[in-house]
Amino acid sequence: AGLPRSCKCGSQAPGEAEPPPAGEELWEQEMERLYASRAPVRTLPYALVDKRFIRASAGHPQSHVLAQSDPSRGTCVSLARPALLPTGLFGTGIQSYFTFLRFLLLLNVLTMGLTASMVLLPLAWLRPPDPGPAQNLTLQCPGSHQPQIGIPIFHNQLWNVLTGRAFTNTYLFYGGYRAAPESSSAYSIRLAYLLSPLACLLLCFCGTLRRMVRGLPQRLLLGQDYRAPLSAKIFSSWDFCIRVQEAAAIKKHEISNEFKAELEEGRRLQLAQQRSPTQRACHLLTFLWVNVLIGLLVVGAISAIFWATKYSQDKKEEDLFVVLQYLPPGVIALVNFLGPLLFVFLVQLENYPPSTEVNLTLIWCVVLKLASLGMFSFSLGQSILCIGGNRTSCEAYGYNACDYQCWENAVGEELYKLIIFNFLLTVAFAFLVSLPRRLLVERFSGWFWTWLDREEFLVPKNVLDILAGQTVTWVGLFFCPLLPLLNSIFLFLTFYIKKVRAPRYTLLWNSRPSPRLFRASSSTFFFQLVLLLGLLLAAVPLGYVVSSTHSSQDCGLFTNYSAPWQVVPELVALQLPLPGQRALNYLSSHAFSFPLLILLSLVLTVCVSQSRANAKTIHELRKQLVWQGREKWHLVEDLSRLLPEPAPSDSPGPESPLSRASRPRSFCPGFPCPGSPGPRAPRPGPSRVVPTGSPGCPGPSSRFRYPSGGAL
Amino acid sequence: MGQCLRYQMHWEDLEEYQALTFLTRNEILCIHNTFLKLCPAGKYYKEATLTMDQVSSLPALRVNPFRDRICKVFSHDDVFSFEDVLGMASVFSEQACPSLKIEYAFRIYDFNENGFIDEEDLQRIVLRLLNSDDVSEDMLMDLAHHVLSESDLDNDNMLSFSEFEHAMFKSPDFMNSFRIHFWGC
Repeated sequence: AGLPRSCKCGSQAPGEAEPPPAGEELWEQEMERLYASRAPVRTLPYALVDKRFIRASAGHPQSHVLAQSDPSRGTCVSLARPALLPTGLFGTGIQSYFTFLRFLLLLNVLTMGLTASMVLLPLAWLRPPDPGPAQNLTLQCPGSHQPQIGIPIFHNQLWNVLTGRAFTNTYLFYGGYRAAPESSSAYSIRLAYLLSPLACLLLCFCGTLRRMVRGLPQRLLLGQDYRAPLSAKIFSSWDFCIRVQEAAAIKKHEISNEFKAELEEGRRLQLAQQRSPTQRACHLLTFLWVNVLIGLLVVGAISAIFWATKYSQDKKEEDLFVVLQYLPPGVIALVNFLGPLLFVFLVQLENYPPSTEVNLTLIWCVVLKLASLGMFSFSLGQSILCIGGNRTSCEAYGYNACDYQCWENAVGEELYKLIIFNFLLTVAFAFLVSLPRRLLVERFSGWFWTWLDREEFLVPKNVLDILAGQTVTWVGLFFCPLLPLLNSIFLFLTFYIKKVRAPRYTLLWNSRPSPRLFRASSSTFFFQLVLLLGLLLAAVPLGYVVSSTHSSQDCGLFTNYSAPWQVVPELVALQLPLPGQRALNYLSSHAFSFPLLILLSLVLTVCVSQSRANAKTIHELRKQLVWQGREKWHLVEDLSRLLPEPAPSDSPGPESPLSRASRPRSFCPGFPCPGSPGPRAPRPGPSRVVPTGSPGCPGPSSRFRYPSGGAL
Repeated sequence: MGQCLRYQMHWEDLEEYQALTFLTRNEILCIHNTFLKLCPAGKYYKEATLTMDQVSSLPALRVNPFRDRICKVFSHDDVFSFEDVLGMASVFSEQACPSLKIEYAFRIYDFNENGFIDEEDLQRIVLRLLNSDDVSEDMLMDLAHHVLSESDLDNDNMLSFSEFEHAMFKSPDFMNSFRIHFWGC
């Protein structure tokens, strides 16, 4: 059967033409390939009329095509369209922020669902007994402290909500949970409460890892430079969604800066490689001194956090200094605000290439954020559990019972305050700083106001903020189980605040487009890595608390246990049959973990050797490609010598790089193009075109074809 | 207020277009509306054609530096039928396959239409991407050489389709940037 030509030539109407006999072979081969591949019709790179013909012709299974009427079920990989994303006017950097936010929202909602189904619902169903009267703690407290009975509340209701005191006996905090003693057949709330943070962390870990691996930049695996290849940038830097003239001008400026930066980097790299050893040592020293200086600043910052936390914990019962309650979160926020500014200033003192500057600043910001959270946890631990410090007040009960009646609640309150403070700060910044600034700049013009208008949507800063919030949520899973719910609400509100504010940023870039651009793809990977780091950081205090600390005597689920983890052996002894107990004993012993470790090392060795073999194969294949390319051009020259001379009006096909001639005309108005992906078909090479009757449709019969790939 | 005869699209046509393209029902109807507003008076939409200038001045393509190439690649005989416009929208839609987008991106970027992206094409691409007063001859040659040294695997100073495809698969930003979703609704 003939194929309609997609060009609307005068003599041929679509659906009726028959290609001249010499070219029919090619069409038949192409059609066979299409039928054999069973690709959905819509994925074929042909015009609609051709696709309709292919679909209607005998070989193509009708049912297969009809089944593809749902666009989301195509066989090719199509991007799931994110529902809430702002589209069109922004660059891909801002979009990646919103994607990240959406991902964290999903994680929090899943965590909350898990906690609710494992702990809250059974609790509401089983209705545990009320707690008995508070036990009388017999201990000697230093100074004039008396052991606290009851939690003092503030007079102002708002302060109660903001510091969490209003929710002390609710399910928000650890202290509000109680359960009957363990029995052999009932659902164990304690086990559920203990295991749900661990299960949530595991779930988040797997989710983040899976997402990271999916987005892994492939160039890492090919052993090339980590930087995005320039070729990819040239072909994918223009955002086809741009519709506004100003945005187009800004984008062009941005692209121009990026290309200049790339070329500059390349030149620097070349220079760097030509340096002598002494110059390299000098360069290394200058690199080191900046880092040492920044390191000292970070150490100073986190010790400030340590003292602030200690001070706040010492003075926490004093009614007058209610602001002291928010001192640690305030200091953390201040440190994380001033820190990056100082880092940027210091890093710019030395003349580093822009990408190194960005990377260095980013890494130090991450270190500062995670270290401040870590120091905050450690400082709390020192006040409450006497870790690494004076142990006298903790000897009796394993925690500082003089100052804390229910210490898990205290920790939960601190984390609650941290999250609330971060959110309030975001809201305050958006409405009290950015909004007036924008209004003022719109109203007035002049040097001062344009200077004031420098604000950019700093994607890394915003991403690090929500990462820090997520880390705090994870740390607080044991102490404040409803914290993921709170975090979800805050993320949701943050999304809308930022979405409303984000459109202005791209249009405000007229004065100073930043040379430091946010490369969306590789940075997404980086931020997911930071998320994993935060998760591991959160797992450390959680693991320590669960396995080695004494719970409060008076509140919560683990009042009579030496550590919360002790519930597990007790339940195992109570509820599992004997073979099960023996199996669990074996799994937790060394006899199991050593063989497991050896097995994992074996698997790792196999993977590493496989990837090395792959790298070698790739190297060989590249060499082969170069040889074949050269052979191909030799053959072109040989054949051009052997064939009769073409008419003067014709133009030769693409010439070899060794001889330059005039350019060929277009020879592929529709179907099929020489670039058609066809792994099994002999790849039709570039051909010479001899024109037949109508100028718009080069007849296929006059095409000169290469010998197929097999013949080469 | 259309100029074309305002026939509503038949249900079977709509179904067929949905099966043959990556567009959703709403998108097809939206493009139908836009087409009707632009096409010459008194014609049935399936027979009417738009000129390349009319399509170039659609808001979606108006500021695109490659709009002439896009129009050249998707049109037939220098005019756009309704189905050509649908085909174009389908390639640029968000649900389209990577392989389809890469195929058409290659055709768009091949300025001299010889089946390869060579140095001249690369220089033309870069010129289109930057502000014209910002670019020096050296920078153009530098960039072209850089790209070829990275992506030209068989050392023939040109990018064939498979080399281009290889480079695009390594770039996750390509799918995000090579799409148009707003056609006038």
